[in-house]
Amino acid sequence: MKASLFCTARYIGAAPHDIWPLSGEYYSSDAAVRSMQTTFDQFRCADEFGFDWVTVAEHHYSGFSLTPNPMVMAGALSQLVRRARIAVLGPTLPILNPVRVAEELAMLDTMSGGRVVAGMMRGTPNEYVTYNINPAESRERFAEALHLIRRAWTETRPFGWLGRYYQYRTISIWPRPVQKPHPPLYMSGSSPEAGEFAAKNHVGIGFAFTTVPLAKSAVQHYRACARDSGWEPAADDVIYRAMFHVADTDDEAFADMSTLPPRISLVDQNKAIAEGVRQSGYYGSDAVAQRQRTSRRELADRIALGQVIVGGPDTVLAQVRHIRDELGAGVLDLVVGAQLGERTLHSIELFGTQVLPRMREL
Amino acid sequence: MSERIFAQRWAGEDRRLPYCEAGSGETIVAITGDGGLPTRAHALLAERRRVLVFAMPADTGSPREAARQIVPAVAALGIERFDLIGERTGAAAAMWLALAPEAEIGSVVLAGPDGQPDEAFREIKQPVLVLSGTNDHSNTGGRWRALLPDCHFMFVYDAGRAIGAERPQALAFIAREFFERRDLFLVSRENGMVFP
Repeated sequence: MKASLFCTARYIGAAPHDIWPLSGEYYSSDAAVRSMQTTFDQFRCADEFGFDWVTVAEHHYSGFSLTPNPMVMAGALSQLVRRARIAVLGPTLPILNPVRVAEELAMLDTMSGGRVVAGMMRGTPNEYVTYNINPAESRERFAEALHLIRRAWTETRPFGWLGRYYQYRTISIWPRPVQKPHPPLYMSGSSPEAGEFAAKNHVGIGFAFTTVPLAKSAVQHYRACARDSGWEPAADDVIYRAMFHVADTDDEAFADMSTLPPRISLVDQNKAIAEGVRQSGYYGSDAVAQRQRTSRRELADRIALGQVIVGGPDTVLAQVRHIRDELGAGVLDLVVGAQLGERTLHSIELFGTQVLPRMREL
Repeated sequence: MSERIFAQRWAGEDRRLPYCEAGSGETIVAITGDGGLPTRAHALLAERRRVLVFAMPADTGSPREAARQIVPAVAALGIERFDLIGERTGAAAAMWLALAPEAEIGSVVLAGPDGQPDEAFREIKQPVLVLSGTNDHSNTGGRWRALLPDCHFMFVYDAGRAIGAERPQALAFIAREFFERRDLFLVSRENGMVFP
């Protein structure tokens, strides 16, 4: 089993974490610069201590993440992180120009010598407000954009595109991906529709901030759909994301995590956006389950449900084993749980040196 | 606009060559490979142009022979210059027609071309746009593109070979653009202003 470190580049200055969009009045450039440096330190640490991947993602208008364009962060990491793969998980595809996404990921794959992992996401629903895209179009835009990006990566001669949502008269991207036919592709597998689409199109799936029981059901659905499409997903075709913190002892780790604010669903912080998104049909056929995964929960419940991995190395390994046994996931995407300076770096080091070697045997 | 606007007519010697016609203005000749029935794409083109839809004649042995029948039939209607659409197996007939010395063709759109392209098609002088549906996994469109190195090539998302039936608005839009502007169609003229 592989491990990735996902540092969201959280803003470490004083600002509310439960407002979206967050006003620039709270913003301090100095704090933002420190946030970026902290992020780089954590990614460097993960690379040094053996993490297989580092993960970046796209979020807007919030201190939760200072990477509205994860490609920019990935570009920096391509020169800073020398060994680990760079997982862009990912661009919020339906709100972006897909040709630009194909170009940027190909450029990153070239800059990193073929280390890019390409996750194509629909994003959190509030992101649709960012660039004024109708969330009701999300799935169709996503599907078309993904097909277009694959063509852009693999067609060797110029071609045009007459889509339902995208139209280009000629496309011929340079640079082109180093990995052939293209970097490994992932998408969210949370909803039944997404699992079916991923299986049909031979794309790996990932789960972010869900629960192990919900993910288990979704993985079973994905694997069944893949079999119907004539292929069997490997362990590495499933990524599971959870928050983590490791300390030398369980007591220290739990004490550290007691400072963690409750998990907030950004979209639910703005009632107008939450209701507008719900009315759009964004959540698909299992809307209730989709909303459940972002419910507020106490830390103990979040640990029990596999949303948070916390403890000393042995305890954390047991939690990882449970996730592996339940899901058959091959990649664990670990989100920095608590921004505690040196203790966070120590958490990354402990995971890399005392958990990861044993995790590889799972 | 519905394909029901088309009227069935007869052309050629002894008026034995059936075709369907609608619209007015400069002429588009479409040669279809699926029985010759007009699609919604043809109807949309007929909003601004005169559109004649020929099927690949059933009693002819080859696309070349079909072109031989259609060229004089169109001329007999008093049409001297026209643009061409070749669809599916009608693509080869459209290319033979475009190569006929007596035909004055503006430009050619091949939508979901089927069959093996003839080496003679390399001699085509008119601008050619090849459309290939993303659900057509035969790579036939790719073979046509390979034979026509100067052609424009576009994928039509979520369509098989029957592009005119599956994505009529897309086919009509791009054909209209290509016929009006030929190679210049590469440069968008669409108005991007949201509010003046």
